[in-house]
Amino acid sequence: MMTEWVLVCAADDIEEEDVIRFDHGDRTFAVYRSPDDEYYATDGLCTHEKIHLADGLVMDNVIECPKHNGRFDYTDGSALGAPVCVNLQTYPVKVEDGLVFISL
Amino acid sequence: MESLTIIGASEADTRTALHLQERGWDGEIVLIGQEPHTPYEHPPLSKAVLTEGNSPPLLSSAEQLQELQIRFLQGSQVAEIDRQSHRLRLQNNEFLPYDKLLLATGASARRLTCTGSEHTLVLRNLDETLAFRSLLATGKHLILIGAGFIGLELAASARKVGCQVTVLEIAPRILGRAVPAEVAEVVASEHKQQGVEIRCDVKLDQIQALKSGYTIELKNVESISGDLVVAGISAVPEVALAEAAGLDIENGVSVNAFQQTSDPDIYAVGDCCSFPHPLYEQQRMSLEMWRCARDQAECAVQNLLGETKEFSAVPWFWSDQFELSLQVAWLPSFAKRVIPRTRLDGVTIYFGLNDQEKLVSAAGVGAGNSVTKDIRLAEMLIATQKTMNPAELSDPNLNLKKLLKS
Ligand SMILES: Cc1cc2nc3c(=O)[nH]c(=O)nc-3n(C[C@H](O)[C@H](O)[C@H](O)COP(=O)(O)OP(=O)(O)OC[C@H]3O[C@@H](n4cnc5c(N)ncnc54)[C@H](O)[C@@H]3O)c2cc1C
Ligand code: FES
Repeated sequence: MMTEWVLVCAADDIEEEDVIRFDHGDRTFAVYRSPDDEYYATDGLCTHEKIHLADGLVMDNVIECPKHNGRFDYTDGSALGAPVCVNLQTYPVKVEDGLVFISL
Repeated sequence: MESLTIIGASEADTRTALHLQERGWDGEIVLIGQEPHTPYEHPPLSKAVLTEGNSPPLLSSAEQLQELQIRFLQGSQVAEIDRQSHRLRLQNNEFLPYDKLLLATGASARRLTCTGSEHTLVLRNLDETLAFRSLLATGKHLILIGAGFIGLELAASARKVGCQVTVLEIAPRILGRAVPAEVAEVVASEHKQQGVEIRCDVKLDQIQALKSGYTIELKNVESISGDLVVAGISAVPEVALAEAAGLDIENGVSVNAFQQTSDPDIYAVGDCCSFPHPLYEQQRMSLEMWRCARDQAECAVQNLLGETKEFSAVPWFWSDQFELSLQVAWLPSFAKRVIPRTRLDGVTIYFGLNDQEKLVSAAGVGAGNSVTKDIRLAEMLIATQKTMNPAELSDPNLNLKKLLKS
């Protein structure tokens, strides 16, 4: 099956060590730019309660959920302890000509 | 194998029990709660439980407690702590021995004292909330006494389900010293826009029951009538058991930096305790904040397991009213001056600096979770106790994270 690459935004639209929300169809994602300038994408909603992670704080490779401070490593989606215990789904990301794409 | 007995089965308490189990406590754990319910979250009571009509999320299910071998005495009230013989007396006169004891008895609603105050409802637990919910109906006129967080949340929820709402506040403005005046102003204008009437600077004289409904007589101004009267005039730490047992009490069950009371076998956490805060010159405080209760429970667990853990988390609070969410990293009352930071999206965060230009508080209000990131960063900045440059704090183009890392 051909992978479908979907345009998210310009690479500069995400600040370093930050995250934005990206809605596509009826799905929502969180797209990250790490301190060392790599881009990542995960499901947009926390696996504890359905809260948008993009309102949370990114520190190094960790996103902290804005509701109860649940933490995930956004580079591999792993949940880092209570109250979150279910990992986040991650998605491949590529940057081409200054544009960020994710593969769904 | 030592046993731990926990009095109160709510936020702080249930967390402690679960935490100890996770961390491998090998003694018996007994959880005693006087409410006839499985432990549930309190904050949604004044919010979604009223507006959506759903039940609050459970902190753990009966099965989960059973699986973890936590003995849960539901609907059981502790009547006395007998420290000498290390045992508890329950309301039904049963005795229960303990090795270590954790008090998490919370706080109860402060009652009005004026004539007719028996006609007012209060809302602290699930049963009171369900009773209140059954009385709310479109078009009913609800009079709320006290414009603190819970009062205003009740006002917003009642308005959302179609009630007419009037809030009476004795002080010149809502939310008192808990938030900067500017934040209170945003909240007040949202209530006004949504049709809630807020009257400040009023003094209650008495409450009279009518054939149907009540009249509240006010000093100097016209009286006001409505169908229901609710008081939200803060809470008092539940200290009766501890006091009768001779533990030190100072505006709450007094604990040291390790959540330990004046009896080394007894710990106290959450709304019932008062504790010295290392970030605020060891000033003793008692707070009614959800996350603080949880953090203290974690701290007590570590100490019960033989580690030495001081409580030092920055107090943090949130409140949801209509579509607004307000957050505060405490304590604005310690601030000598306030530095506003108006972001490009129009939301303003108010930072409080003390005499030495150290950050002591941050507060903001906005739609949804829009202030979360900044308040979280502010919390971390408060914890560093670094001296701040006010010009940098107020510059929306300067990333707060940079200040944290510099
Ligand atoms: C309506 C409401 C809304 C709130 N909203 C917010 C919010 O938006 N943000 C926020 O940060 N905080 C909020 N809070 C505060 C937060 O819920 C509390 O800080 C937290 O619940 C404290 O936990 P606790 O375990 O110390 O006490 P509680 O949750 O009060 O639990 C104490 C329990 O102990 C039981 N108990 C007492 N004495 C005995 C006895 N002798 N024997 C057996 N059981 C006993 C009580 O019945 C109660 O169930 C709210 C509180 C209420 C009531
Ligand atoms: S919703 Fe994310 S941690 Fe609870």
